[in-house]
Amino acid sequence: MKLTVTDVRKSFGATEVLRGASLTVGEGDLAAVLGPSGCGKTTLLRIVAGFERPDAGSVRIGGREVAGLPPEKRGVGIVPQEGALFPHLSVARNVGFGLPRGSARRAGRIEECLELVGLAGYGDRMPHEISGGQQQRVALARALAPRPGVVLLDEPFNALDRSLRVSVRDEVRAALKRAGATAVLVTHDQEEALSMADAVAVMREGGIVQEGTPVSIYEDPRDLGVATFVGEAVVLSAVLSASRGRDTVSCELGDLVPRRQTAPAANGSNRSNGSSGTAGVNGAGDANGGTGSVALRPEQFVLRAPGEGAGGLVERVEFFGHDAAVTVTLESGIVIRARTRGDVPHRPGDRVGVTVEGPVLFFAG
Amino acid sequence: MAVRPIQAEPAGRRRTAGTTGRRIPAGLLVPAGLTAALALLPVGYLAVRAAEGGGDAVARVLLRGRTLELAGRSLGLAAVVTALCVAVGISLAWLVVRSDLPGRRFFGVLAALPLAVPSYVAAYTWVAATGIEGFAGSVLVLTLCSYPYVYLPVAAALRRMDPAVEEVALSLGRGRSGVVLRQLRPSAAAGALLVAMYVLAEFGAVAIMRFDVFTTQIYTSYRAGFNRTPAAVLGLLLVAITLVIVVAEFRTRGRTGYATRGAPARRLPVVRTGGAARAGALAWCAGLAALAVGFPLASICYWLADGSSAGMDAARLIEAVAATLGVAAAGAVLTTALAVPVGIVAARYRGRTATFLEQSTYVGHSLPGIVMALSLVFFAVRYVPAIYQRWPLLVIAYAVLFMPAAVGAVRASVLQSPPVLEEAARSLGRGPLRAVAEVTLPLALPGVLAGAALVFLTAMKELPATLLLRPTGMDTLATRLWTETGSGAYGAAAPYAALLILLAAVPGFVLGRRSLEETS
Repeated sequence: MKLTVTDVRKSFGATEVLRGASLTVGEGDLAAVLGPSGCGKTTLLRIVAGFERPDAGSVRIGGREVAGLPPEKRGVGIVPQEGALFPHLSVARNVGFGLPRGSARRAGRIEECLELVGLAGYGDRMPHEISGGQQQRVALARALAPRPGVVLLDEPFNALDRSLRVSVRDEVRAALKRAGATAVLVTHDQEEALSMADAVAVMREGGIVQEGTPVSIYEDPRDLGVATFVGEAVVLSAVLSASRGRDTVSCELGDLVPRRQTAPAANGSNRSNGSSGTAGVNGAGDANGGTGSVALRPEQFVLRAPGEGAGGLVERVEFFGHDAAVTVTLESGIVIRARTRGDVPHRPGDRVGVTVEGPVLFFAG
Repeated sequence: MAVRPIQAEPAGRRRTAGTTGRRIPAGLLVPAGLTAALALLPVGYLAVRAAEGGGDAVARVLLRGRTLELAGRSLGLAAVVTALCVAVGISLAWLVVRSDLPGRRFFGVLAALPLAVPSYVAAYTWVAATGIEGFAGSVLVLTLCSYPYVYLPVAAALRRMDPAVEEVALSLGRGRSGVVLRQLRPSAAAGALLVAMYVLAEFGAVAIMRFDVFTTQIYTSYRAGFNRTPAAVLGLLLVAITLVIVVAEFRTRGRTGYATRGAPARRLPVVRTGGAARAGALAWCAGLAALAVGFPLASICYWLADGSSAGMDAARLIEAVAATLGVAAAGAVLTTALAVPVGIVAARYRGRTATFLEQSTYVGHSLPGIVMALSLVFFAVRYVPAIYQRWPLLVIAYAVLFMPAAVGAVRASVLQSPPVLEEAARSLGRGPLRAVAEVTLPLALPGVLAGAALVFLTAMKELPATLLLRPTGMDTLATRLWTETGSGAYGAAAPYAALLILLAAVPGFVLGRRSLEETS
């Protein structure tokens, strides 16, 4: 069911944790709420689930206002951090916990949900007899069993080790999609958010600052904060100038082409939240130019022979197989990290030239 | 691969453990309120009694030099015994749970056994054998009888401690003792609180040791004549002193979150001892066991052998056993049933109401059994004559007396169950009470049952309240023992003492075993 959170506010004592947070998740979508720790994302989740009461604002699930309802009347499934299976109940009884007792369909639904998460036949095990990743999937099956309107996942992969995390992530996403569930995933891991979610909402200081598809958030961040939080970026001070209808951003890596940005006002998914935004920068709009910052993505750097572009010294080469990261100290002292192909010919101590490829992100101010 | 389900508590979740503004649901509030009212009833009656005496009489009792002297004696005795019990309890718990001491399982079982030795029996064995009495004798006997109140919760806490915390401390160049002691504080403080209140309320042992304190003076005043005012005033003063201790303990508990999430650690690091340290540790454990359990047993055996000439009335003995088991079991059931709502409120809610409900249940225990019993007698005579001199009144007295142990057990075991499980149950359609009943209580059950066993154990050897409230003609083992020893018939008393210790040793043994099970 569609989830609509509108202008929710919440304070704990003198601390204002949510300052008018709004979020919309379409039916059947998996949305990620992405933010650093302490930004209020867990509180937002707990308000949707009904464990906290908002001071103001509305929470609607499928058109029904639920802000005043206790958790058990909301039809919201939760997958807590580390699963939180009931340790005294078997896997099957955990999954069946939310189903009406004595109903004829109960056993069938339990098996169906276990199958959904790829754990058919595990019903008789106890929670401590299965692995952490399996526990997480049982927790998902348990949440999905009563067919909730919305499923909330609170940093569900934190406790898993790295290698396991990617596979459990895929299994969880696949299960949510098979179930056709509307889901909200709360995380501080941008890779997790970008790779799993249909839509990403970036949260900061108690509010959602930008919502959009993973690609649009990465390519079109509304401000420098989002740009550096979602994905890596090297930030350099720059000057914007316009001549003959063409904008140029000048920085120490040369004259670059600013990316044509969509105006926040014209894009419903971009929300202004009072911080200094990209207002004066979009495309050819501002002829006066001005000072600001460019944010350069690691994959935009191209390493060339010395003499081409800005000169620098290779500090470090990290080889990952499919690609590599090369750390270069420019002559000005600025350090950049470039993503290159795996067969990188450079060694620490080499002199290189650095140029930038493609349109860049420019933010005034 | 078996991954432990849940581990240390991430920062973002701490808020859930005790949310301040949450309302206590009526289904918990009403029974918890009734329990608190029952616990406060005897004190309330005392206040009424004292007030009936008039202001002048109250002032006269309070301002006597003798009153101050008694207060000093009672407090001094409580302070010394509590300090010794904390030292003994923590050292034993650490050696049994964490060291490689030979025979530590055996010592673990032995360490819980002194709970089965009634303090007045222990006092008598010491007085008879060594002639020790007064302050020194009271300290010796009360420490040996009550250190398990610290040992048991501390051993349990040590066992469920996350070894990772210690390893972190070691890796940061700190000793392990600091972080361990810090984590033991809530359980040690709860145990110390019980010891302090137990000593303040102690009557039999100090009377035998001829050490005059509040309780003995209250008893004398009650017995002295028709004027009940002095005893009521002294009783109220003792309640006031205990209240100060309860508040102090609550302050030290502070705001730190102690909830561990999920299953206890599977394997604890064992600390190696060697050479002189091991010999010293062995001597310490063995010596304590010999003094606390061996000495009274040997004494009773001597009496049994010596006094066989006195003859034994088997029918009387069986009758007394049945009566003892019956009232103690009824007491344990009622106490636990009353303690569950208060324990849940104390574990899950913060705020004035929750604090009041929890602390009010401690008040009843601080009343000396003799005062509490007389208070109930008068209340029953005046308002509910139907239960006067019937067993329900005695069972109610047990519930009021032993409520703190049961509430503490419920609270501690509910804290062990992470609140996120209740939230999961809520999101799956359970109301707040059903979430507690279906998730938290089953998980807390072992701890709650351990609390019930402790109440059963303590009720079986309760003397002063039983003396006053038992139905006419009913004798428990404790009252028979008191009657026989009172008349100097040590031989005739011995079978009752032996049976009492044997019966009480069963739950003690189970408690000790339980505290060891997870270490193996």
